[in-house]
Amino acid sequence: MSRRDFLKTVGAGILALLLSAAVDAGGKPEQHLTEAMFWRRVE
Amino acid sequence: MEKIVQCELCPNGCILGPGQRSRCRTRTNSDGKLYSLVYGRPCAVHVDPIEKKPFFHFLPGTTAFSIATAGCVLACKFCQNWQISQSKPEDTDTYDLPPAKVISNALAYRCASIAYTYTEPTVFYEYMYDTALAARKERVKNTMHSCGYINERPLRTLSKYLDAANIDLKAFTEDFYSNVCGGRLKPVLDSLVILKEEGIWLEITNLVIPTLNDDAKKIREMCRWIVDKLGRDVPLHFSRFFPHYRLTNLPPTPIETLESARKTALDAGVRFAYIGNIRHEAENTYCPNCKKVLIERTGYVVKGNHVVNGKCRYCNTAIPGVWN
Repeated sequence: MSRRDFLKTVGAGILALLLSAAVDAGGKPEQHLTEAMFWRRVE
Repeated sequence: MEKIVQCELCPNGCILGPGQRSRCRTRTNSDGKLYSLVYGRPCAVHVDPIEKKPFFHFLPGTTAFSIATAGCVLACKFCQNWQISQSKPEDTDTYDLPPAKVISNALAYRCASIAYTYTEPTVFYEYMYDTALAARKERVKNTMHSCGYINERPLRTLSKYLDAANIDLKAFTEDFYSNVCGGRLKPVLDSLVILKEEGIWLEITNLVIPTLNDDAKKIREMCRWIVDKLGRDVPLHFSRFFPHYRLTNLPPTPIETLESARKTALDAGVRFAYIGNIRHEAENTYCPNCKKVLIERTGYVVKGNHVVNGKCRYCNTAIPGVWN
């Protein structure tokens, strides 16, 4: 493998890793808070 | 003074200090108010046959747009969806699916109903309620498969927009609920009576687990209670257990046990008793009068339906259910 091909392969690998991390992160929820309907304050 | 709140959604009645999380993992006290963490964020979204829920007397042969979030009010050792039911919302991958998107998807996929299912819909009550309300406006029906572990006020409030419920009656002893599920039987029985009073189409599922809830005497007692309190027309599904989660030490339910439970139900006066999670002729619906096969099923597939306008095609006997 030439130096150029080697660098191409490494570059593609890094790009794939970054993209896969981005997809994973997109699937994880941020914390969304919606007030519950049935609850009470405890005095 | 500390800002302590109590959740009034289910019989667990979690009392939470600031920052604490409910037992179902989906509610938190933030600065003295109780919040849901899962609104519009389902972790499971599928188009399923309605038979999968299972509903056998509710729009057979149609599909249900099915959603669930993480979390559960119980902790059943045999849970078949434990990977999501026993998880925190932040530990699952989720979809951004607000109620309006659920309805538009259900319509796009030509689903006759939306099913709140897989985990325990009570934990995503606000999301379910808003979606059900919007679905009713679009004439899409609402169904839920629930463990019935919910307080009276939220259940009656939801019932205004609910069309059908399948409730897991997991056993007929307090010991089982306490030791195997981490809950109580009484609130589940109360929910069944409330749903019946509210006129919701009701079906019941009983997962028969070898050695834990397969006692013939208790099954008979359960069937008699159903007939006495809910009537003869509530379909009862005896479902086959497979080793899951924390009960991998037990074998699958023997077919004979399921057949015996079904016979017990029929003898007790239940008119529609089924066997599920296994291919069996007791997946079919039989006319209680002429005994002919009315709805022929193989798994989740309806192969023939001879209920016409809610009646048996052969002898004109009325068959309870929601058919149109």
